[in-house]
Amino acid sequence: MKLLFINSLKGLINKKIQITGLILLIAISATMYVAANVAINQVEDGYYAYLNEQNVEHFSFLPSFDETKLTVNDLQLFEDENLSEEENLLLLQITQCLEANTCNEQQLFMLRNLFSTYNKMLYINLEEVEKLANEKDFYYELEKSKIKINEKVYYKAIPINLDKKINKPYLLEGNFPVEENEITILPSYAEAKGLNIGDTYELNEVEYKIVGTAFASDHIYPIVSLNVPIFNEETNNIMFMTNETYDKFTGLEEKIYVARYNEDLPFNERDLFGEETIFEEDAISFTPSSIARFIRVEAIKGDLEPNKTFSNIFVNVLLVISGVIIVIIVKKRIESEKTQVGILKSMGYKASAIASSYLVYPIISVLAGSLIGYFIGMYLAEPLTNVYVSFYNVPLKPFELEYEYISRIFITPMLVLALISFLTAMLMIRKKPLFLLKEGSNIKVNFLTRLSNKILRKTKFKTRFKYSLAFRSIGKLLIVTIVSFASGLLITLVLIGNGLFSSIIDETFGNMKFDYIVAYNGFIPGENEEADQFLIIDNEISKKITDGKEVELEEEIEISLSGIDDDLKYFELKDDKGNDILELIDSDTDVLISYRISELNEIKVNDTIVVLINGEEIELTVAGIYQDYFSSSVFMNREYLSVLYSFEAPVYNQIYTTNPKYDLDGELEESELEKIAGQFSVRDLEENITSQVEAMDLVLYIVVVFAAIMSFIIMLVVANIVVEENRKNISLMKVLGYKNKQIGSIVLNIYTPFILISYLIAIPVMIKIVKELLEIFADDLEMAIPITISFSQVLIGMFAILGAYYMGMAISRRVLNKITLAEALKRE
Amino acid sequence: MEKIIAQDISKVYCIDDRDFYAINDLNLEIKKGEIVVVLGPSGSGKTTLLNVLSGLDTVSVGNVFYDKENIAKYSDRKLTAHRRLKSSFVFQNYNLLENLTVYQNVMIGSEIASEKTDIDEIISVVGLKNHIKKKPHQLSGGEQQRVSLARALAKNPEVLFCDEPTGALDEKTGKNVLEKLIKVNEKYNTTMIIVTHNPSIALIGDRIIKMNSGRIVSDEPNKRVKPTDISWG
Repeated sequence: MKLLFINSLKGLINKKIQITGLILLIAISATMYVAANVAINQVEDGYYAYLNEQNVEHFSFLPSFDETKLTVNDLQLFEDENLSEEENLLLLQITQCLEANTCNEQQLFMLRNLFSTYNKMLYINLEEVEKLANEKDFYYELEKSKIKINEKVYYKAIPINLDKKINKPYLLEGNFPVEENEITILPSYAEAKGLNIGDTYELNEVEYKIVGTAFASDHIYPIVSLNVPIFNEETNNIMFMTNETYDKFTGLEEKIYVARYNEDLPFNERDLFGEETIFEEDAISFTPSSIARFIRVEAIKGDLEPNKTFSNIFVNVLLVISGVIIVIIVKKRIESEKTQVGILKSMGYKASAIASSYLVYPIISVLAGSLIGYFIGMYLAEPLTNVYVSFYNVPLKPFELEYEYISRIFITPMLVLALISFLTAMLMIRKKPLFLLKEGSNIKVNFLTRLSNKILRKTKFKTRFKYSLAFRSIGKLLIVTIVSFASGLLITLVLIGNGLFSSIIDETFGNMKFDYIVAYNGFIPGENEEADQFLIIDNEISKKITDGKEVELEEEIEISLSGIDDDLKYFELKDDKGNDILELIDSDTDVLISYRISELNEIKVNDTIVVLINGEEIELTVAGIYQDYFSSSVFMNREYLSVLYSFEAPVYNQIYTTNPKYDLDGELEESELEKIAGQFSVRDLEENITSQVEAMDLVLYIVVVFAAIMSFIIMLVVANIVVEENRKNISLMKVLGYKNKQIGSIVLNIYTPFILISYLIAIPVMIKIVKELLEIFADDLEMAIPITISFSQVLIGMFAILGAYYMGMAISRRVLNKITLAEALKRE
Repeated sequence: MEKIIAQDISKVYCIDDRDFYAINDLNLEIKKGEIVVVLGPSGSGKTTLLNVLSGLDTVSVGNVFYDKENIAKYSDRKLTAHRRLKSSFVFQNYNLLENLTVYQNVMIGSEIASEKTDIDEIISVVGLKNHIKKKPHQLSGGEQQRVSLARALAKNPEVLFCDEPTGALDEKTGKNVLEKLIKVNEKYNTTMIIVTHNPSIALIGDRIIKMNSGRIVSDEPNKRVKPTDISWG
C-alpha cells in the first residue's frame, strides 16, 4: 500500500499542469470562503452578541391613532403648545366639527398632521398598549432624539441615560458625558473628520467638548435621518449628551416607543414576522420611523446573509469543478497504467487497495490548495471586515478559529474529492485482471462516431477524422463540454458583472435636471412657478387586466400615485430607448409605470391596473413604461388625481426644482419652512448611493477577477487534458510525417467547436441565474436591474475562452514537442 | 504429489453467435517443483490454459484443483486471495511501476506476501544487485524482465506462471532470464509453468506440453538443458 502511494505521489510530477490547476482552484475556493466567512462571522458574532448585551429593541411603535375616533378631550394635549395662528384656527374648526360630528376627510387629515407634528400621537390609546404589552410579554420605554442639519452634516443628539433598559449606549473610548456641553461622537465620524477625544467642537454657536466615542446601539446601520437613507461617515454623526445639554440643543425632535420582549430568546432566533407577528396588532402602529429603526437594526443581515450564501455556493461550485477535474486526472492515470494495474491485480492486490493509492491526488491538492487558500483568505479577511465595519456600527468579536472553517476547506473537499477519486478508480479497476492486461485501447466505435461519419461523409477526410476522434470517447467529450460550460458561465459573469451597479447609477442620475426634491406636510393649492409640482399619494394596485382578462394579484402592489403636469421643466420620463414619453399621458386615465413595476409584476403597455380611491375602484390604462429601476411611482394627470381625491382645485405635496434656496443649507422663509416635511438633495443622494454602489462594485470586481482567473485555470486544464489524451495520435501522426501545424489543426482542435457551443449555451444560462439572483436582491433593494450582454461582449468572451484554451494548449504542446518520436511511441 | 490438476476443462467464447473453444476438454496434472513448458502456435490456447490454471480466468466447464482445492468454483474475491498467496506471474511485457526504483518494484511483491521474503537475496538471485536504485526506464529489457521476475518471487509463490517471458528479449538477455528462472526453481523448488511459442526454450523444462486448437497434442517428459546450451530459435 505504502509503495503504491509513493508511486502515485511520484506520478504527480507528470500531471504538473492539471494538479497545479486543481490546487489553484481549491486555493481560490478556500480563499473566498475563509475571507468571506472570517469577516462575516466576526461581524455577525459581534452583531448578535451586541444585540443581546445592549438589549437592542425588537421593534418600535406609536400607539394606534385613528383620527375618526378622536374626541374633543384629546385636543387638550395641545394646551401647552405654542401653536401658530393657522394651527389655532384649525384646532378651533376641528373642535366645532368634532362636537357636531361633521368633520370631513380633509379636516381629519390636517388634524392627523397636527398630532404628528407635535408628537401627540404618543399619548393616545396608552391603556391599550399596556394591555398588549402584558399579553405579548414585552416591555417598552420612550426614546427621544433630535436631528439637526448643519453644513450638510446630519447630527442626531440623544440624551444619555445609563439606566435605560433598551438600546443601552455602547462606549468605545473615553467617557460618557457628565458635564454640560460634553458629547460623545461616532468613531467613524471622528476618523473621517480627524477629531479626537478632548477636542472641542462648535455647532449652533455652542462649543461642545468631545469626551468619548460611542455607538447608539440601535444604530447598527446608522441612518441618522430618513432624508439621508444611506450612511455616510463624513456627513452622519450621532452624539450622546447630558439631559440638560439635550434640552438646549435645537433640532427636530423624534419620540417613539421602543420595545423588547421579556422572553430570553436569542435575537437571531426570533421571527418578528412569524405567525404571531406584533406588526398586525391593532393597539399599536408603525411609522416610517419604525421601519427606518428596523432597517438600522436588521439591514446588516441583508448584507451578511447573501454574501455568506454566495461564498458557500461558490465553494460548492468549485468543488464540483474540482471533482470533474480529479475524475479526469484519475481516469487518465489509470488508463495509462492499465497494464500495471492488471499486473497488481493478477498478483493478488485488492481493487480497493489499488484504488486507495489514487487518493494521493485529492489529498495533495486539497492540502496544498486549502493551506494556500487559508492563509490568503486570512490575509484578505481583515480588509473585508473593515469594509463591513465602515458601514455598520458593531463592535467586533476577536477572531476565533472555528471548526467549521477547517471542516469546509479541508475536511469536506478532502472527503468529497477522495470519495470521487476512489469511486472513479474502483469503477475502472474492478474489471478483471485479464481485461486490464489486454494491450491497446478498449474504446469501441460508438453511435456518435458512426453518426458523425454518416453526416460528414461528404466532407474532407481531415474533418471526418477530426470529429471521429472527438466522438470516440463520449465521456471525455462530455467532460470537456461540462468544464467549458462552467468556464463559459464564469466568463459571462465577468462580462455582465463589470461595472453593473455604477452604470445603473449613471443611467438613473445622469439625466436628472433637478437638484432638489421638497416634500410638504400637507397639500398645497396653487402653482409654484420655480418647480415641477407633484401630487404623490400612496396607493396599491389591487388588480390588473391583461389582454381583456382580469388577473387577481397574489398581493397588492404598493405604488405611489403621482400626479404630474404636461409642461414639466425639470422632471423627465423616458423609455428604454431614451425617448420622452410624457406625451403618452393623453387622457385622464392614462398612466406611466416604472420598469421596476413592469418587470417585477409582469405589467405591460395597454394593460389596465385597478386602484382604490375613496372606496371606488378606478381603472387606469398603462400608456407607457419609463426607465427606472428603483421607482414604484405611477404617473398620471395631476388635475384628475386631485379630483379623484376630492380636492376642489389641483394641489401638490412635492416639488422638483433647481432653486438653491431649497438646499438643506438654503435660506427659506420661516413660513415656508414650517410647511416642509423634508428637503432632499438629489446630488447628495447620488453621492451617497455612488459611494455605496462603489463598494458593491468592488465586491463584484473581486468576484469578476476570481471568475476570470478560474475560467483561465479551467481552460488551461482542459487544454492540457486534450493534449495528454491525444499523445498517441500525435506521435503516430508524427511518425507518418505530419507537420506540427497539421497535427495541431487536426488533433488539437477537435474540441474547439464543442468549447464554443458550451460557451454560447452558458451565456443565456448565466444571464438567467444572475437575473434570478438579482430578483432576490431587487426585492430587498426595491429595484429591478436589467441584465443584458452585447454582441461585442459575446465576442470578447469568445476570444477569452479560446485564448485561454490555446494558451493552455501551447504550454502543454511545449512539453509534448520535447518527446522524441521513438519515445512517444514507446510510451504508448 | 500433484500441485495442480485440471479435470475435463473447457473454455468457451461466444463470437458472432458461435461457440469458440479456446480450451477443449483438457486434462492435466502438474507436480510440485516441476518446470512445465507449454508450447504451441498462436491461438492454440496456451495462454488461456495458463490463465485458468493460475486463477486469472475461470473455466467454462470442468475443475481446476490446486492442492485439492477446486479453484474453478471460487468467487472473484477468493480467486484474488488465492493469487495473492499461492501464485505469481511473469508476463512478456514487464509492466513495472515507472515511478518506483528497482528495489521498490520488488517490494511491491513482498508487501502482500503471507511471509516476509528476503528481498536482497531475491535481487541477488536475479542478478540486479547493482541496479536497486535505478528506475525502470534506466534498465534494458532483460533487466526489466528480471525485475519483473524478482517482483513475482518476492511473494514467495508456490507456482510461478510465465507467459512468453522472453518474448520481447534478444537471445543473450532471453537466455539470461531463463537461467534465473532455473536458478529460482532449484533454490526454492518453485513449480513453474512457462508458456512460449519458441520450441528452443521448451528444452529447459521437465515436461513439454504441445497444444493445438485448445487440446493437448503431446505431453512428454524432457531432460532439462541449460539455457546456455540451447540454440535460440
